[in-house]
Amino acid sequence: MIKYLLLFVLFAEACFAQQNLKENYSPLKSSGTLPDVFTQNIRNVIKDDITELNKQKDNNKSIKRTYLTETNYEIEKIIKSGNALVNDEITNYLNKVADVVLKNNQTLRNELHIYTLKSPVVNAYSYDKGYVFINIGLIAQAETEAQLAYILSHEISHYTKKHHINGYVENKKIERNGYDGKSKTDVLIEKCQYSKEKESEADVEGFKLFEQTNYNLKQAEKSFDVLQYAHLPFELVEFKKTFFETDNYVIPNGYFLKEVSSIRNNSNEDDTKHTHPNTAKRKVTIAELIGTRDNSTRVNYIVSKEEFEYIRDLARMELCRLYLKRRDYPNALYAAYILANKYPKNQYVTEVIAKCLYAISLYGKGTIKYNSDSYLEEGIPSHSDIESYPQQLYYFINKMPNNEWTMMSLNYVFRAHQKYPDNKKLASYSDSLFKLIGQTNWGIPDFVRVKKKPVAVKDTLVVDSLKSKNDEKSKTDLIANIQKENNSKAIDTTYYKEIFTDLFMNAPEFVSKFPSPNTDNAASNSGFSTYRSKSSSITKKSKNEESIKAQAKIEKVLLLEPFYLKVDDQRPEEFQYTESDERQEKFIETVNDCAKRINFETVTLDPGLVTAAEAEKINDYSVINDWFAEKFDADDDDKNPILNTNEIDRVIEKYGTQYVLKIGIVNYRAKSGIKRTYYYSYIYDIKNNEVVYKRYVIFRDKDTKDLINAKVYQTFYELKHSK
Amino acid sequence: MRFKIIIFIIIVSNTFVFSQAPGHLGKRFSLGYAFHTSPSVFNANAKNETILGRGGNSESGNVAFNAIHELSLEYATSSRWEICFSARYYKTICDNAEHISVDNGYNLQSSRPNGYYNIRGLTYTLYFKYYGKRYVAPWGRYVMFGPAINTSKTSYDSNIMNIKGAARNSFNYNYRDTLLSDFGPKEQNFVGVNLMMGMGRSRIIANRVILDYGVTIHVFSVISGLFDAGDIRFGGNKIAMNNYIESTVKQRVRGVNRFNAFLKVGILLF
Repeated sequence: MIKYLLLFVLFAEACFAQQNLKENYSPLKSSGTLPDVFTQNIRNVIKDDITELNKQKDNNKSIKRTYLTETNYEIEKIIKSGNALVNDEITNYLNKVADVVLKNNQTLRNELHIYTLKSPVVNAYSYDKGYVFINIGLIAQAETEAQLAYILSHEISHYTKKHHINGYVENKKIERNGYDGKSKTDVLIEKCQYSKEKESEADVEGFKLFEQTNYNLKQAEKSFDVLQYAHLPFELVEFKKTFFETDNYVIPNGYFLKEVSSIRNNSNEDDTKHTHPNTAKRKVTIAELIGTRDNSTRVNYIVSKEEFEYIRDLARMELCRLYLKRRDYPNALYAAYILANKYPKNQYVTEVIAKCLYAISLYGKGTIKYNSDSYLEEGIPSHSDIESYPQQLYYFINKMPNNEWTMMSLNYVFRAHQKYPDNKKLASYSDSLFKLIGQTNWGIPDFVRVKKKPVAVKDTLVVDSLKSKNDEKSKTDLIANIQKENNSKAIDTTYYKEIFTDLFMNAPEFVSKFPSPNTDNAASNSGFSTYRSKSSSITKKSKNEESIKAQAKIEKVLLLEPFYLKVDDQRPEEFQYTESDERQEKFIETVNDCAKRINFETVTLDPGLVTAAEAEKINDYSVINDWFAEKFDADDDDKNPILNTNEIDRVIEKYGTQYVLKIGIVNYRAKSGIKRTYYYSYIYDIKNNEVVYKRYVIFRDKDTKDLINAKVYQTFYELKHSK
Repeated sequence: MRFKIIIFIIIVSNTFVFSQAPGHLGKRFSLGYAFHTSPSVFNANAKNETILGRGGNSESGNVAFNAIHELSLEYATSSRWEICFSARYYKTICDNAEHISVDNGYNLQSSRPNGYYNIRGLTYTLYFKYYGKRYVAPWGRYVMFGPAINTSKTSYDSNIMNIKGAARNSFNYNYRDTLLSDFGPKEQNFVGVNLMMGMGRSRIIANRVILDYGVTIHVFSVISGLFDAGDIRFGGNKIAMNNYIESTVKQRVRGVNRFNAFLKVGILLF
């Protein structure tokens, strides 16, 4: 009995133990039993929903049938994307808050399915079937538990008032009737007007629900401020250069603005083309509802203030990762900077900062690029586009020359590596930064202090003269020189000269890894010319075909959710969800059958095929999806480092392969009757971050079975017979 | 010669066999039957019949069709190449249209033989199919080419094919009927070479059955088509009774093989 009790206690501890954020943070994961939505057959669900709809008297059955199909697939897609969290600490907390809000309405409570969504966007939304999604970005910005409770109340009201389905029907009606003599803008305004009415209704109805709790009513009004300033970081903290400074390294003031811009107040902006009323209007509505109601005994926290703050910090930690995922390094750096002030010893936060510094170094060298499909389409924004304290960071990034940034990054990352010697990622970024330094014309001589004649000489000349003087000396001579001169006063005007002094003296690893001046690159001060992705044997045969043949022997692949989509412009609903779903099932069979025929080993990771007990597979899927999300933010051929997840190595070990196969078919029929079938199969080496096999073909044909079989078999054959 | 062909096949097969995904789901070897047909323009028939392989002629204006039956073996050596061998069989007639100068015992006269003679043809082709870059042999669009050997065997019935006439005795001025029916041996064999080219599209049903359709031409026949139409001959002897079949059969054989559309049904064996 005692044994079982002990086991229970251990299990409970494992399930409910909080993370020690003072020391580290582990990315959020789903756990426990997965809800039905993971295991149910979506086609049966749609069928049941439509059967139920057909029993009702309704003039909009046709539109609603489409809605039910689309929405069920949409919900399934969101939940199975790996971005929705199940039974994690944040979701459990949100459910506790929902319990408080719906304390008097258990029936409604039971209809709701609340999930946390791993998205940095400050938003929440709900669907007609009781699914409520709260984004990490919103939780990170919330100031109190009461604000979260009001936001939940608002979303619950959308559900009870059936706003989602009614909005869909109304939009379709506007589209069908609206273009008669109206411009697209007029139609948009009409749709937005309807949406705003429903948002206002949800504000009011949500407030009524919220009012039934003992939460502070004023927080409902304040929650709109959170939305208003969602574009700013979760806390406004002055960005101080001292964060990156050491005893021997002081960053010049010239790299920082004397003052930052003020925050623009656009709460009363024109909302004609917005789906939501502007915040000023919403706040007025809530203020009127609060009116003279007694608020004196009401509180900001009912569940727990400590738990809220803990949950919010979890969300903020996760937010850093989500920024990294979309390669928004300045925001990730700023968020981590804020967290570092609160948790200076948190290893995860240090690592995020190290990643950002490293990535910005690569960005400055042109190794990291953005394109029109990237979240940051035009790269890191100019500081002039940023408001308030974060502007300082953007200015700093833009202003500091890249070699100096790289040096500063190495200084931070190597010291972090010294602090956490077991952290392999920090060691790896440190090594990469050494390589980057090695590709410049900078070397140890540039960091040797010498007594300078008391003549004002420009910094660059000093560097040049030192270089010529020290070029002849060996690495150990130079280090001895540093040690000898340690006691002399530094009088070089080049501010960074002493940055590594203590490391040169006290850190043998630093000395051994620090590169000698690279004379090859001396001619080009920008350096880094060799830091490019390995050239691959990409064959662009025509616009209809592209392929890369595998250069390495591939014996096993992780098959990641084979994809099938049918699009038909000749039908009223262009996306054929149900047919695509059926085809996808058969396609998965085909893929596995072809692999089996050729004795090629595959292991399938598909959230559509998990059982209720396989939450871990959803987590693995999420890790790989996050990897791809960051990968796809850049061009295919770029070898941008994937920084948002450290768990990819665990996944590789678990599934026994570093190769992930993404394979799919898209079939399209145009209004003119032209048919196109797109087949793609890509294999990514998620360990070395490169595409090792690619086959992309367009056929002017239907998606016939022989086409699919032939191409899939060809893919596996080529893999099997790769060198 | 046979030995050289076998060596050639082995060399070609080994060149491609280690390259890319051959065959459909690993099945490389197929056996097929094809039906080829084309409108018959020249010397098709004397009976004005319009059945496949016989009917129609240029005089009546009726449309006739050539018919060829083909058995083929195909082997995918790589994702884009197949090496194939086929035997085409056809049975047709040659409508006697050429005038010849004959000696009826009294004088020379120019006559066109009555009736027709029979032709049985066998064409052996060793050819290669080259599939489009997006396709995988034996599925998809392809072009094909290869040398063809046309063999044909002719036979005639003297009751059908003959030259009937009347001759006047220069001494007594009496007329008498004449019948000339000796056109050489009753059965004659001929051999010719050609270059087959074609294009087609094959589909695979239930991973086993191949449905293949397309067109083929015999290049030399196409080139000589203009001359055949103009009835222009090069380097031949003057047409006479004893070389009538030899002089006309090639034109007819070329006509059968010149251009054909085909539909093939095959089975993927292994």
